[in-house]
Amino acid sequence: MFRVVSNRKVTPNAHEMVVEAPEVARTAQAGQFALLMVDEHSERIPYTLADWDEATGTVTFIVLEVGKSTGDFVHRQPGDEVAHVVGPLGMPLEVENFGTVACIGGCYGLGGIVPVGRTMKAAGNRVITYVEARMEGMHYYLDKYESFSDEVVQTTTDGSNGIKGHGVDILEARLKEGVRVDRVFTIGCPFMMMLTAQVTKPHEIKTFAALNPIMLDGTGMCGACRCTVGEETKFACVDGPFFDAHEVDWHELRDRRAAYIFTERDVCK
Amino acid sequence: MKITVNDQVLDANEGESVLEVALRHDIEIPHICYHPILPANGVCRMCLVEIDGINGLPASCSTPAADGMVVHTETETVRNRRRENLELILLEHPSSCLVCYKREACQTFRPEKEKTGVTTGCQNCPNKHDCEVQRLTLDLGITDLPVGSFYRNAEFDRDDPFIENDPNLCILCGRCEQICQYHHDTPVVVLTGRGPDARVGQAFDLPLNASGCTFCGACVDLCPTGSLSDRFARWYGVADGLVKTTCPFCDAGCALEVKSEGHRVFSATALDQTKPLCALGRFTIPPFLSSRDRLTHPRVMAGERLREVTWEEAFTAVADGLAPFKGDTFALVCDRSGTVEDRHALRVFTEEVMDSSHYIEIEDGEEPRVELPTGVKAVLLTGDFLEADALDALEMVVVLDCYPSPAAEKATAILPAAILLETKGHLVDENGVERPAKRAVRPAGQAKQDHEIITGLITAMGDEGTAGKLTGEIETRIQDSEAELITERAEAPAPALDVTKIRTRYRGHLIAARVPDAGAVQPVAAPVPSEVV
Amino acid sequence: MDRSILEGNPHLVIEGMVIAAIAIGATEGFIFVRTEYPLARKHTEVALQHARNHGLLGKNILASGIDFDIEIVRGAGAYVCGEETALIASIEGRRGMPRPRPPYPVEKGLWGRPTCINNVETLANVPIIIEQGSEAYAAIGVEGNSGTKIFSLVGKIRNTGLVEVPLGIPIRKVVYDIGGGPLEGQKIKAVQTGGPSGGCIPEELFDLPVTFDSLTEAGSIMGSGGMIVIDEETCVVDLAKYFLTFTQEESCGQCPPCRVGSRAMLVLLDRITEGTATMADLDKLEQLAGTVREASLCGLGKNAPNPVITTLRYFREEYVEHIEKKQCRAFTCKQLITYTIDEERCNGCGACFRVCNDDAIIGEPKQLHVIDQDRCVHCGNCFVVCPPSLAAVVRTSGELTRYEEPVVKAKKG
Repeated sequence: MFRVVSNRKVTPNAHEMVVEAPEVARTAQAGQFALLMVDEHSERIPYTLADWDEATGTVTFIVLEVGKSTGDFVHRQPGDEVAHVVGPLGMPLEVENFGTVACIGGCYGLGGIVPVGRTMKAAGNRVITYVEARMEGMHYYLDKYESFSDEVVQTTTDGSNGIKGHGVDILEARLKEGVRVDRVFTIGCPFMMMLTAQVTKPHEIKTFAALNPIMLDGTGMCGACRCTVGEETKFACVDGPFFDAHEVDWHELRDRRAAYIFTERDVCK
Repeated sequence: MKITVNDQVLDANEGESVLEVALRHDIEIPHICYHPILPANGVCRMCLVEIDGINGLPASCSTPAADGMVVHTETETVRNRRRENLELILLEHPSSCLVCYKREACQTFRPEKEKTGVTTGCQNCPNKHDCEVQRLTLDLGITDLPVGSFYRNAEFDRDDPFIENDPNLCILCGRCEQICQYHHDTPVVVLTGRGPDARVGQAFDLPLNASGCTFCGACVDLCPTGSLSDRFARWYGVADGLVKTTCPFCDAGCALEVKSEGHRVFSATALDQTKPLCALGRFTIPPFLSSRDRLTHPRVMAGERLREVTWEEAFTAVADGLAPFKGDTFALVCDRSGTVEDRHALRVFTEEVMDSSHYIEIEDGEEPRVELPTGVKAVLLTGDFLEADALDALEMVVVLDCYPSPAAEKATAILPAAILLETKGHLVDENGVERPAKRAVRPAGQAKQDHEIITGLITAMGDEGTAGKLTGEIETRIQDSEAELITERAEAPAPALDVTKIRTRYRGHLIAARVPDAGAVQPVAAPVPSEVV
Repeated sequence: MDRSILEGNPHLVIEGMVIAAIAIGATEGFIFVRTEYPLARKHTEVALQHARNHGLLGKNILASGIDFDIEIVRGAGAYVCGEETALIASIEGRRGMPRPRPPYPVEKGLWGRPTCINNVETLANVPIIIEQGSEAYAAIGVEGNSGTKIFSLVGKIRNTGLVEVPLGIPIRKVVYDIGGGPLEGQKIKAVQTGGPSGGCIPEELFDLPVTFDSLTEAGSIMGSGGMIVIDEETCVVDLAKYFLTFTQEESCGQCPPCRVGSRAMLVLLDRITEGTATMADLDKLEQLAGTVREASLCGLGKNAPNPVITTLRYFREEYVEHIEKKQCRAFTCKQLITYTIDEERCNGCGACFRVCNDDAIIGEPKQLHVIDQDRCVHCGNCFVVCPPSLAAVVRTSGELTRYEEPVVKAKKG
């Protein structure tokens, strides 16, 4: 069993869950994720590792409450236990000094982008972090971004905090002005990641997006997380989660994510 | 009376408000809190107009039309104030999606159906397909808000039976309180708190069942946002089937508007909104239809176990099994929950085919447990009507039912029955008038309606003549039916006003056993505040 | 005002109500008293009992065949219950919330019946008019505004308290003659009339006669009869914010202009007093004030922006100073004040060092103290404790710097 160390509501629908999982914390690298089961018979859900601490043996997830399993998880209080945490899974990010790196996060990606930015900074990159949220009060981790970013660009959809608009719009405007960006990493909903890909494609900037399909075993056996990248079938769990965003078939990703919506909906009552 | 609205001379009736006159003549004045069946409340301030001779901007919903009145609905002042007022409403409502300039692209890309724990924007709002705030915002083209959002970030109340209250979506239009007052005199759902803390809830924050709620669901029906919602229907969205029928739960005969998606009924609302429904009619039908342990396939005892078989096999097995019991050793027990046609078929089967005088129909309101007449050795049950010891004495039990019961465990055959909105025919209301029952959804699994099963049985018994005659009779009856729905009720049915009067059993099964919320609606004592103890 | 009448002479109100009842043929009367005024309630109760004992209330009053009795209803602390329809709802046992008019209470009031609803002071005037005749009453005050009015005169003046003046008297006379003028060394800036929903009238307009019409014209209201005098030490933006904070909290919550609009205005006022506003925010504030005023359902909402509207009308330059120069001339808006220590005056006594809760003052005893501006929360504690003989803490706001002159104590002996 894995003990929940803390549960903090960071936005109205997202919780920062810190769980004791020393083995995961010991070997985790930026870009990886872990699979978690709340109870012995719960759904297996992959969560991006938003942070980890080898010393305390804890890992941090940003959990968006969307249905039964995520709901069960975010209602676990400190001291409660979850049945399984399997990880770290997925390919770690390729880290080197690219020059200027743009990290774009939205929603749960506001947490997921932290290890990415931190690692990129450690490798000597200039890190610009773009964080977007719907409205005031839905940003979190600003202090963490400050610690590794050369610049933090904060946007909200309704303009209630920071610049009105989306992170990717600011990036687009800057690219048009001729600002140089060597690599882009994006974590968030498929729509946002798709937009990022569309913006960076004409400028031929390598863009990596963390795909978030439905996943089961996380070891490449079941094929639930199948996605098409550059007309090749890839498994997000073992080949990903980061893929070349310009090559991803976003519509397929969207459809596969919604495959069980009817069942998911029926257990919500 | 004549009034002039935007240079158009319109005829107005005594007692009509300016808004009503305008709407009747297809002049659109934006409004939220106004609802045709409710008295004007004038709180949303969307329907402000200018009227010559009246100071300021009166609300058109609460201003009675007077002869010679000159009304302007589209002057610059009116448009500006209306727009600014809606901007203010949007400040408290999660409106980031409404003012997002990527809204359309996002909407096209996102999957049709989505769900979320806490709604923070339109794209994952249960009400996104039918939101009055969204419609008004798009109509008025609002893209900017004066200050940052006042999102309430309040706890989402999910503990009440059937009804969920997400205060974060509420725009405090007050329709819920008004309709509650309208139906029940003293509103249960009320405005509490003041200023920035104002929200819709119950007095003293008590749960609904401790506040006197009858769960008529009228507040949910009238909520313009997704703030008050029906837990079962919440994530269904647009219906692909809409049927108007009679509520099959009791003999009040309320007319329902039933929405379905594919093979699922997900919501039933009152056709006549001026009278409330009871908790059963409004909320219980969809979950009762789709509870997990529904009997869906015919099964026949083979050795020690019940085995799934085809209908043909089941009919033959039952026909063969019942053959030795013709006469008074056979009895059939049913209650009045089926359609007139179904009960007719059951009676014909008992009296004419099985030649027995033991057709036992349990009256409404009776304890649904019967004692069988002496000498009965075989029985056909359409529900959970027999005590366990009565079953032991029987040689053959056939169960024609929707849910498992002690009888089903000892049955020679189980014939799954279509129930509630899966059936068609006629229901009799409390005045003895026949009301149409329309099929809103395909029966669960392979279930069939009682009369179809009975005619199948009769056929299997070799009496094709009777079967054909019966089928013909029933089909003609349904086809030639002139029965009408109760589109306007004179008064609310008793269970809609007193939740203790709702029916607790259907075909002898406890409804609350399948739909726990249906049991939780019963009133509980309000907890005594700790300082009093 | 009303409270003082009920506490001091409730008989007057009772008599007024009986006369009104005879005039309109009413049989039941209600006095709505705030629970927060127990003395007023108690005295009124005693007066009612006396009246009943003397046959002045109840069945067949003084054998005239007229039946009329009065009941006291306690309010539950909602400001909005001063609005007539909300008051009626409260008496009926419902939540005190205004409803749209028409129908007006005279057509459909309490329990749906025609109701005459008036303020305590109005009814208290009725017996006097009946007794002395309308001509004698009309001789007091000015045309169209006869009689007297009680004001609660408070604020930065020498004499505070309740004053009864004939209507039409110039404000100046009330403030300077009756109120005794400004405090030592100060200058009167304006007067806020009509309570939190009223408006602020600047000193230049003090020759204005106190009448219902002239006050309305000046953007204020007679309202409850409050007169709060402010001097140069009071910031008008802060004043407007103070009153708006009250009204937005007391909003019944029904209509968006009042509930959300006043809250949005407050956000903008906060920005102005914190120095984060832009000139665009000022335009927004004005526009919002207009919406709240014109679109609100009841008087509470319609009058809520009055303090903002009037201060913007008469003291706009102060708002602009806050925004453009980050300057509060009254030295009230904390975020716009910078505290520094004058090196020449500081003797290192350590008083400021000890009271600073945020460790923003660097220095050792007997050494010069310096304020770390990054940590300073502008609480002003150091300014307060710095001995007047030194006056070493200096306040700056925008372009203004305030040097207090050191107070030199006379030597002993």
